[in-house]
Order: sequence, then C-alpha cells, then structure tokens
Amino acid sequence: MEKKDLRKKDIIASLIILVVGIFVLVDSFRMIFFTNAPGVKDIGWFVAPGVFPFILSVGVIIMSLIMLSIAYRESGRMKFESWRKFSKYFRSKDTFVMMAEIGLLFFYVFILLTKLRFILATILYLFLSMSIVKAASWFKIAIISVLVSLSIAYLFGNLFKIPLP
Amino acid sequence: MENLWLSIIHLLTSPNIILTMFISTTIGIIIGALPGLTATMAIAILVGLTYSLSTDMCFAIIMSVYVGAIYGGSITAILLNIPGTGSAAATALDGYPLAVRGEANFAIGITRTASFFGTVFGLIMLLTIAPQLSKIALLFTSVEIALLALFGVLVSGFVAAEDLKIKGWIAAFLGMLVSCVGIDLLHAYPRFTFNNPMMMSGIFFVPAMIGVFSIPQVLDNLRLVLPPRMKQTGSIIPKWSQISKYIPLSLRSGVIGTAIGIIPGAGEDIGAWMAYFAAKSTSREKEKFGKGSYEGIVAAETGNNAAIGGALIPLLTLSIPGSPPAAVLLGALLLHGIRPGPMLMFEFPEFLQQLGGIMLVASFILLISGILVAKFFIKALDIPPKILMPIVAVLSVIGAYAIHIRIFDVYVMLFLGVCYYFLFKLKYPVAPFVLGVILGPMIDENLRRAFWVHGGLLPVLTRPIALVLFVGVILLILLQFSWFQKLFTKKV
Repeated sequence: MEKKDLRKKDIIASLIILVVGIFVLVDSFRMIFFTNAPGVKDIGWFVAPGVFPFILSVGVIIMSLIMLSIAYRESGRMKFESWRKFSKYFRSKDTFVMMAEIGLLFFYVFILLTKLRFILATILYLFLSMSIVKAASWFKIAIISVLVSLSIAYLFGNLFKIPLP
Repeated sequence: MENLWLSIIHLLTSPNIILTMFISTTIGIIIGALPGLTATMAIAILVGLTYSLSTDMCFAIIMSVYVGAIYGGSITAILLNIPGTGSAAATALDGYPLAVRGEANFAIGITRTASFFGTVFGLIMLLTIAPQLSKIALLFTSVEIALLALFGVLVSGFVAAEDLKIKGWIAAFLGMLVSCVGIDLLHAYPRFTFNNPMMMSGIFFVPAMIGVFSIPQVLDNLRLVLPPRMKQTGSIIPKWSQISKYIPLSLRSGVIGTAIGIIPGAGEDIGAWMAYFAAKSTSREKEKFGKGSYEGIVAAETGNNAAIGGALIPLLTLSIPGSPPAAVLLGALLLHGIRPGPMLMFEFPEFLQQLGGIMLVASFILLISGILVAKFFIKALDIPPKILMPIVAVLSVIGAYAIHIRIFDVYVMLFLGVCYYFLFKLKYPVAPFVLGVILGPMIDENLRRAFWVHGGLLPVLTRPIALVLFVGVILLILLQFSWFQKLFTKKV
C-alpha cells in the first residue's frame, strides 16, 4: 500500500478510534464520580472502577489525535480525484472477495451454526468459502469440504472429546 | 538441574507423550512452513483445542509446535523465497539464492541444526537466568507489578510497530480497554457491559487472541498464490565438519537471539534480523550476504530459535511475555491454573524444569522430524492457501468455543478478528493488542490496590523500584516526542 493511501485510511481509522476513546471517557467518568463503590468515598476517586479505563481513554484520545494530525499531514492534499481513486478500493475484486468472505464467516457463525448441526454447517461454509476464491473445481471443493468437516468432527468431537459448537 | 533430568526421563518413558510430541513437532514444522499459517496463530488455536488435556500433555503439544513452527518457516524461505513465518524472513535472503544454486537440501539441513542449537542455547539461558530473576522479582509489590506490566505493554507497542510507533501503542491501549469489559476485579462493578449478561463475565483472552491472530491471516491470505517450489538436490544431513565451523557464530547469534527474546513483544522475528545483521557486520565474507551465505542462514535461524528461550524468561519470572507466541503461551498457562511471575518458582517449583525438559526433547525431535518433513511431507507445501484458510477459520471457531462452551466467545472471536483485520491492514501490530488484553486486568487490579493501600500515587512512588519503573514509563512516553529527543540529544 502506498504511503499516502495508507495515511488516508489512517485518517478514517483515527477518527473511529477517537470516537471509541470519547465514548469510554464519558462512561469511565461516570464510573469514577457517580459510583457508590466501596472505598471510593473514604479513600479517593483514584481507586474507583473507572480509573483505569479513564487513563486508557485519555491516552487513546491523545494518541488518535496525534495519529490524525500525522495522517493528515502525510496524506497529501485531499483532492476530489484522489478520494475518487481511494473509493476505487471499495469496488476492486480483492475487496469484493474479502467482504464476501467476512459476510460468509458471519453467516457461518450466526446462522449456520445455530440452525444446523456442526458437520453440515461446516460443509456448507467450506464449500461456499472455497468457491468464492475458486480454490479448485466444484467437484474437488465438494469432496474437500465433506472430508475435512467429517475429519474435524471426528478428530476433535470423538477423539479429543472437545465440545463442538 | 536434577528436576530437569527427571522431567526428561519422565518424557522419555512416556510413549504417548513422546509420540504426541513427535507428531506435534512435525505438524509445527509444516504449519511454520505453510505461508499464511504462523506459529502464534497455531499456538493460539491450540490453547483452545488442548484445554481439556492434562497440563503435561498440553504444554508438550504447544511447546513442540512452537519449536517446530519457528524452524519450519525456513523451509519455505529456502524453497519458495516466501518466509513461512515472519521469523524466517532473514533466512530467505540467503536461503533462496542457495536453493537457486542447487544447494536447497544442504541449506535446509544446516538451518535445522542451527535451529536445534538456537533452541538449546535459549533453553540453557532460560534455566540459568529465570531462577535468579525470579528472586529479584520477589521484591515486587502490587505497584511494581502494575508498572512493570505497563512498561512491558508499552515496550511491546514500541518494538512491534512496523509503521509508526504510535500505532503499536494505540493497539496496546485498545487491548487494555477490551480487557476492562466485564465485572471489575476489585469492586465487582460492571464496566461496559451494556446490561448484557454474557458481557458480565468479560471478554476472555483466548477467544480474543484466536480472533486477532487468525482471522486477519485467514482474510489476508485467501487469495495468496504460491510460486513453484525449487528442486531439492543434495544431502539433507550436513557433515559434522560443515556444522562445527559455525559454532562460534551460532554462540554469538544465540546470545543476540536470547537477549532480543527477553524484550517484551520483540520476539523471534527481530531476534533473527539482529543476529543476521550482527553476522553480516562481523563476517569476513560480507559480499556473500544476500547472495547465498551460509553464515547468514545459520545466524538467522540460531537467532530466532534462541529467542524462544529468551521470550520465556520474562514470561515465567515477571509474567510479561517476550514474544507474540509467548503472549499466547501466557494465556495457556493462566488457563491451566499456572500463574507465571515471581511466585511461580514457589507455587510450581518443578514447572520451569518440566518446560525445559519438553523444550530439550522437542529440539532433539526437531532434528529427526525436520528430515521427515523435508523429504516426505514436503508436498504439504503445495496445498494452496485458498483451501487452507477456510479450514483455519473453522479451527478458530472450535478453539474459541471449546474453552467455556459458549457461542458468545465465538461471536467475540469473530467480531474482534474482523475489526482487527482492518487495523492489521493499516499496519497496527497484533502482539501489543494481545499483551494489552492479557496484562490489562493485572495492571488495573494492582495499580488500584496499590493506590488503596498507600492512599494515592505519590506515597506509592516512595518505593525505589516503583520510582525507577515509573520514570522508565514516563521516559518511554516522552522519547516518542521529537522535542524531547532533541533536548536529550543536545544534552548528550
């Protein structure tokens, strides 16, 4: 990844991290000054449950601001064309495959594993996942998916007695 | 020392453990050799999968895979010019030119012996330094433990960052923030739980580390296409005369590898590079480096394997891992009720020797299984990542689920893994994040306990060790600012 491209993406990441930091800061503030936790009133605010997240959130906010300024400085001028070029990233084949694989992982964990038995869910996931990246011919992918799922289920479920999802 | 021999005798007289170690080392070498599969990822998944096994068996498997995987990376570095693990990147510089010259098998053979030597050297250092360091560590109270852990996390962020150093620290802080989720350890106060009963018990480190170590690798390597392997010619077993001339170099690389391994988060990758650069700068044949130098591959492989022992020194004595795989190993130790740190030598007096015995036996097994992999299982390298990566994703799901038998842990693993994938692409290092998740509760609990006992920050700093560590943390932070660096260099 080119440095300027990296820095443009760094800007977005820093903004997201900044928002996370602010959220934690607000919540930890509540956990320091509006809590009845034992010891806080007698000894001081520095033993409150919110102290550690408070320190961390301040650190995250400061660092994300520094990161933001570095990224802004090094990303070059924000021309409209450069942003359009940047948006090309989201339309590339690699990104499509990556997004499809992420979607498939969520589908496997949240839908397939909860609705189907482990072996069946895994066969389906492996088949779809390998098909997206065209790992081999359909027939080979089907065989690999079935054999791998059965082997994993037998090895971990039966041999090692590990509970499967 | 007596316990070490007893541990070795115990291992050698337990056929099931020896057989398991043999299989694990072999699998470790193959995992290390396969591009896209790393030692850390393998150990992270194994922590979940070996949870139900006895402590002996669990660490026999994990340590064998660890030792095997760090060596395995060199096979692909030599045959494909792609380091199987990050720690073999330096080996590729000279290993591949040797393979092009038709000396692939000899290079594989010599790196195997260098890896063996490095592991044994690191182990000797571990057994020598760890007991002494743990005596010093006994002087540490809550505040020193908290500051030391914080220092470790910050150093890790500093060392591991490939791009800007601040990214390593952001990763470390995010990891510590993740560790704050759940019931607070001192007040039993729910933090960031969103009234979700599943969140009350917090985010366990095993699903978190499996997620951030495996999911980004799975997504990143799905479209990786491997080049064809170089032809293997020549003998795979080097002669003693060929090995013995590199002993002084191996000793020096072992010292460098172990020393780098001790630095939190630095680990095997940097150990290999430092040993390589040291060998290059002191060699009489500098011009051969990068074009197929034996000294180059010997130094890199001794350095990375010696870092294994080095990384275990701070892990076992101070509870601060020296490398990413050691961070995952910390998770495994805690999971089996073994709390590393100053008290380890008292609570589990035989554990260090037990671990030493396992490492020694694993390194001897490496000598044999390394030949087997290079001769008979080499075809495993032809499995395309497109097939391998979805299987790794399934193993990650099982690993995350197996510890507490909760589907929520799988959700956590997936959520953190996918989130971290984007950070990983932006070159945020993974190791400081994991260190933050694991050491976060230790820092939080000990720091507030110290405040509670001493009544504030200033009384805490009257303790000399605490003051030194506090100054160290502040200096480490200030050194990131250019104005402070200028001030410092001007004065110097």
